[in-house]
Amino acid sequence: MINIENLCKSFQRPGEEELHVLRDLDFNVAPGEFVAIVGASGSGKTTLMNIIGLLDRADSGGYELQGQSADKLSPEERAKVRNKTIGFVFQQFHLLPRTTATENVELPLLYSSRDDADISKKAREALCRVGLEERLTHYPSELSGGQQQRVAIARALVNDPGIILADEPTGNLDKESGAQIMNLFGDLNRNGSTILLITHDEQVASAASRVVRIADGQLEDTITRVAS
Amino acid sequence: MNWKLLVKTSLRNLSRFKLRSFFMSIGIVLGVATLIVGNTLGGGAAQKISDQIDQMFGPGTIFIASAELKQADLQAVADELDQVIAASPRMMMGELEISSADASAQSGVAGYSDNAEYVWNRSVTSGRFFDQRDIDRASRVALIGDKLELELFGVDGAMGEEIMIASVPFEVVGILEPIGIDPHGEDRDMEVYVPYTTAQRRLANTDLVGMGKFVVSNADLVEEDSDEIAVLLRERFQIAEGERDTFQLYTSKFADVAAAKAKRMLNVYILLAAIVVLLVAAVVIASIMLVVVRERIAEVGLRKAVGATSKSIATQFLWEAATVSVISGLLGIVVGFAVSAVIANIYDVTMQLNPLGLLIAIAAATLVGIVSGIIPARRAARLDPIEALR
Repeated sequence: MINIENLCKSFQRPGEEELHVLRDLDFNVAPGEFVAIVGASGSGKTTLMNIIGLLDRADSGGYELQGQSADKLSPEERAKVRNKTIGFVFQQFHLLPRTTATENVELPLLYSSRDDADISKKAREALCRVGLEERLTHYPSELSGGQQQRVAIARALVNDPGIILADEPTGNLDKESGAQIMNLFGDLNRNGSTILLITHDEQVASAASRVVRIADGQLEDTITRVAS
Repeated sequence: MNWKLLVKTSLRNLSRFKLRSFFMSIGIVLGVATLIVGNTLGGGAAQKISDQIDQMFGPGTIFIASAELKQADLQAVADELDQVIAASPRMMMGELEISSADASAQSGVAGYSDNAEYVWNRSVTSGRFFDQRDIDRASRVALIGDKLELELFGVDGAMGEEIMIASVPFEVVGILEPIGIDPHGEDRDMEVYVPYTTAQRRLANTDLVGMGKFVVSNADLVEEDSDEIAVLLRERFQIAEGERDTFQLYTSKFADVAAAKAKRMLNVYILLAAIVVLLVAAVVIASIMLVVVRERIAEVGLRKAVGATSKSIATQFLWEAATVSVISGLLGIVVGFAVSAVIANIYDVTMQLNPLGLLIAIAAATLVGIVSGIIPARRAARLDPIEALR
């Protein structure tokens, strides 16, 4: 699913030394895996996620997504790949305010041509998959944090992406809601979704079947558990 | 996204921020309404100006105003110049107190002669006009406008009734033909006509008339005739060589030129007003859209993350601006027609619809929307999704 070799990324802030965020990083994810990347803040995990999610580009190194090299894609092609292949889940949910749950979930479908009836049907199905069939026409302000994040997950699922990228999905939630969200990811994974989770929280990461640690711009000891 | 979705998305986004959408639309509504009012009433107003000028002048006429003008001067011109076929005085008395037994009003009073019906182009709808006897005897008879009649006598009618003009009793012998409000804003249906001799002897105690009008036989020669009248009057008024005229002459040709100029100015003013309003609307929409883009940075970032290209982001913001503009344009057309109808009713102007003008109004609104949406749309399209989502 994801094949990364010798990936490098550095930032240069004016008046500061060049910061090497990612250094010769290798990383692979197989289809159907549930991988957690853990690391302290500033360890480069979000930068890695942005590169994997085609929101950012590496300085050097190779990145293949579903066997296709991502290095030479035009901005339009990258947008298309994001639309079809990647589902994002963010810490701040990023739902559109004053817009119903269904309409929020429809969003990715608006950028891939389909007919209108199909769009709302798919959005409703995705909301059912995250257990929000009773909240289709609610606005984000009428939903709890956990429910909002589930709307966001439904939005990530709606286009049947190859991989779901979740950046600190429980970071803004209380413990219980966070646990429910992690259970949801577990269910989705058992039903075939490939999930890449980024977190600083070891407890949260333990829901994944494989945990990799990022430090000093490189991935360290990999813990693999056999799925129970 | 296809266009149906774009319209739907635009409408949804606009309805999410109703107050802001309202401010964006108001400029265009006003601009388009101005265009529509100009379009529907411009022709009618110009026609009304022409009608009124025709009423005042008529073809082949020369208007004279002079502080020392007497009826004898008018008569002398008519006698000495063959081409002058009629001369008629108009003695303006200004506003005087007019009263019936039950009511009173302030009204413009003017003295006319028996040929005013023809020379000044206004007759009576009931009763009779002045005759030679009225002029000779300075009879206390009056013609009044239909509005004044209504004000003084209600529905009973004024024919044969007595009115007091500045405490002098007159008999109402006729009701003047209604002609509405003149270009100076005077309501001519409130006027009172009396014989000029009566005005001179019983109301003003003077032998002057102040104004007059000549009718000439050939309308194409009014300018030449006017010059001849000027020579004659300079002689009568004993104006020395090199001294200025103590009278002003205006010919119907001069009036035609003035009317054409007034029509052109009216159209230019309306167009300028609409352009200014639409330009202001464009600036307002552009600045509000820029604020909108800034407020919706996270939305733009998210849309990009879920697959929106820069082009589709730009398209979306352009469509929002265009949708506001088109809806406002349509609203402006409705408002414009409503305002036109009210004005047409008050000022008795005919409404005309020019389909091309309607098209131009819609096109102008759309253009304003698209042009003012370009800069904000480009700014939104250029946002970096990583920055936008932070």
